[in-house]
Amino acid sequence: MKTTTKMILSAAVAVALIAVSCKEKKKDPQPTPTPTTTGGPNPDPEVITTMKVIVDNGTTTATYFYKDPDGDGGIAGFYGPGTTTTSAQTDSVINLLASKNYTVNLLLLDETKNPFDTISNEVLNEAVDHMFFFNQLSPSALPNASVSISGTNLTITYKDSDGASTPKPIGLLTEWMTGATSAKKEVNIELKHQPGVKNGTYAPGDVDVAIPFKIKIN
Amino acid sequence: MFIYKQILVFFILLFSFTAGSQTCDLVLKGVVRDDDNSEHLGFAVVKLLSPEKVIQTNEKGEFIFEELCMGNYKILIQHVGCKDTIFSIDLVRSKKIIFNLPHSFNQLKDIEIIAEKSSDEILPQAMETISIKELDKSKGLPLGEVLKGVNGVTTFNNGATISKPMINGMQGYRIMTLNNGIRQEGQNWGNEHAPEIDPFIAQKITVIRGTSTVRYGSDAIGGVILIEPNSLPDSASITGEFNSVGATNGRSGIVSGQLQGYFDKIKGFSWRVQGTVKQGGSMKTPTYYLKNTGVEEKNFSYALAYHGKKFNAEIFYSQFNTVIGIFSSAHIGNLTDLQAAFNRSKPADSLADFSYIIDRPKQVAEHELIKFNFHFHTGLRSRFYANYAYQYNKRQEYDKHRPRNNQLADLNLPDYDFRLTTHYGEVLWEHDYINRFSGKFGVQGMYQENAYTGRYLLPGFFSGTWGVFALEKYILPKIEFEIGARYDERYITPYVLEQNQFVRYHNSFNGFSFNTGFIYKPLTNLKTSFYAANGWRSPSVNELYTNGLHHGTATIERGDKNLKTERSFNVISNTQLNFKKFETEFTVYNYYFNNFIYYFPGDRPELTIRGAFPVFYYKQNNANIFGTDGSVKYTFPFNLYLKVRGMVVRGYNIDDKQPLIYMPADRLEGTIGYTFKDKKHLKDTYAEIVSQAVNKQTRVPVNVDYAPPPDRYFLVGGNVSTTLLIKRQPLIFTLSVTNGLNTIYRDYLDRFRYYNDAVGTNITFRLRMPFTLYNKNKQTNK
Repeated sequence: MKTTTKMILSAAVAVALIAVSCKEKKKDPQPTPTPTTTGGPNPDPEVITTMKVIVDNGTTTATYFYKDPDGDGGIAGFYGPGTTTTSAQTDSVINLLASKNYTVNLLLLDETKNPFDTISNEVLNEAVDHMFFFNQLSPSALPNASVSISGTNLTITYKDSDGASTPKPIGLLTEWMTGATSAKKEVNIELKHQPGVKNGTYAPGDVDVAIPFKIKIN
Repeated sequence: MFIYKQILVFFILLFSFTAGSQTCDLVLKGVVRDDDNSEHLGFAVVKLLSPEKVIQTNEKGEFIFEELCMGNYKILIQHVGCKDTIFSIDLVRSKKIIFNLPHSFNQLKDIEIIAEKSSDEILPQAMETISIKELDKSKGLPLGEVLKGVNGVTTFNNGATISKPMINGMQGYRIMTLNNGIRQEGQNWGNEHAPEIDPFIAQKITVIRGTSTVRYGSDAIGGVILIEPNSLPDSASITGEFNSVGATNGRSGIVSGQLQGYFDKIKGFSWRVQGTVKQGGSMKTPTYYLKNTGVEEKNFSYALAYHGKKFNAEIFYSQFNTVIGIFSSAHIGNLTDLQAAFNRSKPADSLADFSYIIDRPKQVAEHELIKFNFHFHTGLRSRFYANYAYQYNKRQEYDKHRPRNNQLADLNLPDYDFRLTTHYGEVLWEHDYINRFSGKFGVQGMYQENAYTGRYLLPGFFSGTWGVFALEKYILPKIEFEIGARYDERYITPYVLEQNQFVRYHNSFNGFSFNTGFIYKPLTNLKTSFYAANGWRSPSVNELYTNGLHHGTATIERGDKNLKTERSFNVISNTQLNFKKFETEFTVYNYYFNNFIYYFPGDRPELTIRGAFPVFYYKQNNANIFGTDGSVKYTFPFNLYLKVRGMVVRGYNIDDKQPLIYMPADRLEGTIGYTFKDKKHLKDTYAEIVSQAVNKQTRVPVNVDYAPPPDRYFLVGGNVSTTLLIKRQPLIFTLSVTNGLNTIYRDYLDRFRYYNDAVGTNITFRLRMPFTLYNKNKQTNK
């Protein structure tokens, strides 16, 4: 009898202790059955799928792109134009003519959304925290911020400003000036996120986008 | 049964509980009985070997040793009609033990402990326990670092604050950690995920190497780490312990305390509460601070037990909470960043100052354990156990890289958020020495759910395992044989992201594991064991299905869903010689793996929208891991002691004819110390210098690693410790110095070696104060 009482007592204490100890878990995600990348406490993760380089010489416009259909990881990305997913291209050559001026627009998209999301608009909205770089080169100061790509005859001039008190370029709009003909040269186009630390140089911040294109001056 | 009850009552009345962990204030009480008829043997000679003390039992067969230090003791008991018998006892706290003296032969270890008997005391092969004295030298360090004191154990690190134990060159899934008897279930797949356990919970840490697959689970191939708290008191008292630790490097401070008691009014109930708070800031290498390497911990646990004549029951709860900063320069964007980081002699953030602030990148982990134990005696020498445990592991990882969208960035959400829930249950029956046999049987089962939010890397899954095992030991005077077998079944059901769709897979695995071996003790101070074991491990969810960019390590990881079960066949032999002045231990082992699963880099980096990343695949091959380690301690007549410890591990990929990656480099450690004579108020005083030489790892697969292995290094450190007695109140002070010469070095098994030097000089000051608030028996007795 005494043992039974003790058993009941210990069980009661045990239950009470658990009731106290169990932490609030109501907000937890559902235990897996269909784990979703949406929903739960985290909003949609940001994805950038596509970078477009729109090259305009005043009369004709050519568009080159790199597309990573599900963002980084997962399905491998590929270059365009002129390809479909079934024959993914592994690099892209931007053909330019010698001694010309080109206006170049960079466009970033999230094509996992329907309709797709234009990420470059976000970059523009947060211009003071973002900047594009070419081959990691830090440009001279505005208004004539420019970089010369070594190994080819190309000078890139930033044509936009983030509007900060000491204005710095963004790089969504640039002017590309070509010299004499030159063989293929890789130009790595990078978007850096530099919240609070943007100073017009490449070093600070994190890489949001980094895609190497090849440039050939004919 | 009647006699047993009488003894129990006798001891409860007589035994005065002294504070559990007072150094050299322990009491060992015993009763010597005839093994066959349980008759109490009066006037038996009881001899404590090293330090030597000889006494006789009284007419009731009772004896008592007082003022013992913690540690392992050998007790020789002699009685007319019985042969001399040696018993081996790990004394961590005061104990009451029944010694069953066999009539006609010698044997080791058949002791019945009236107080709570740990269910794991039955397997004494290649195992080593860290004594409380050793623990005093490492209090405040992460668990992995504490375990380094054990032969054959190294660590895989992510800087100084994240440390994963490695046994016999194996880590992660091939190692099992039992926190208070329950296997720890966390996100074990990550090299940067250290076990979520508060080392201050442990009063005793034991490492069993290479032979544990049958008892603990077929996947405990490398070994098992047992973390055991102090046993609860069993007479009216309230005792406790207070610990505080301060360290110069990281300017960290820790306060930990525990309190335990036995209710005076409600017979049979005892309790314990325990908690730890830790805060540390930026660690420093010899030349610069490591930005964002702070750590915070808040842990607590409590236990309530009922200890009755018919049954025992216990509930244990523990919670572990930590925030660990990851060195910001070790968190990289892509391959270009990675190469830039390797080429720098100093990391990009090396100009940072000291700070306690933990920013991105960081890990936030939480672990909860609720455990119920129930056991009752099914006879004089057998017990039945039923255990259930619930574990909840939450792990959030914050990338250095904030969301691009400032609004989203302000929410400061983790990029990975894993929630692992585990239910575990087991039913065990064990019997002590009966007709020369002792053994254990059991059924164990586990069910898991893993959910996540945030970026996809490891799929969510359900998994289940169940196993049944039997283990028997046949004991002869100088030799013990052991044989065990186990059968397990396991399934995994993950939800894998393929082409933006979740696809449900189902994998099931099953298999047998065995172990057999013997322990041979030709002399009282020589013991040698030889074990052969086999185990198997199903590929884990990450090995099968990971597919994504792991930002913390800047790698794209790809699992292989066609991986097969990994099987191991291993032999391990251990020899121990224990003389008064001379102690040595030596272990040699070999593992043959069929379908060894490992992580291997692809031949070219993969381009993503964020740039190029190295790709790592999971592969399997036949492999061999073998090694040897040992230690020698010699005490000179004038209290000077010398200890040398060394280890060598080799891993070899048989199919590819290449070394295995990430094997510990050869190392040698030497300690020279002096033990001072006890004074009236100063006891257990010693000072020692510890030096460690670690060779360069030259056996690495070609063209695989990001950077070549770092050079050899040599470190010097030391410990000074004393126990100050103020009116019987002991205060144990320990001062430890690591990397005393502020040597600049990098370790091969530290993932941060790619980016920064290892930490410089660290001086740690520790105080441990065991205390007794109240002890009824003591008051009435004195």
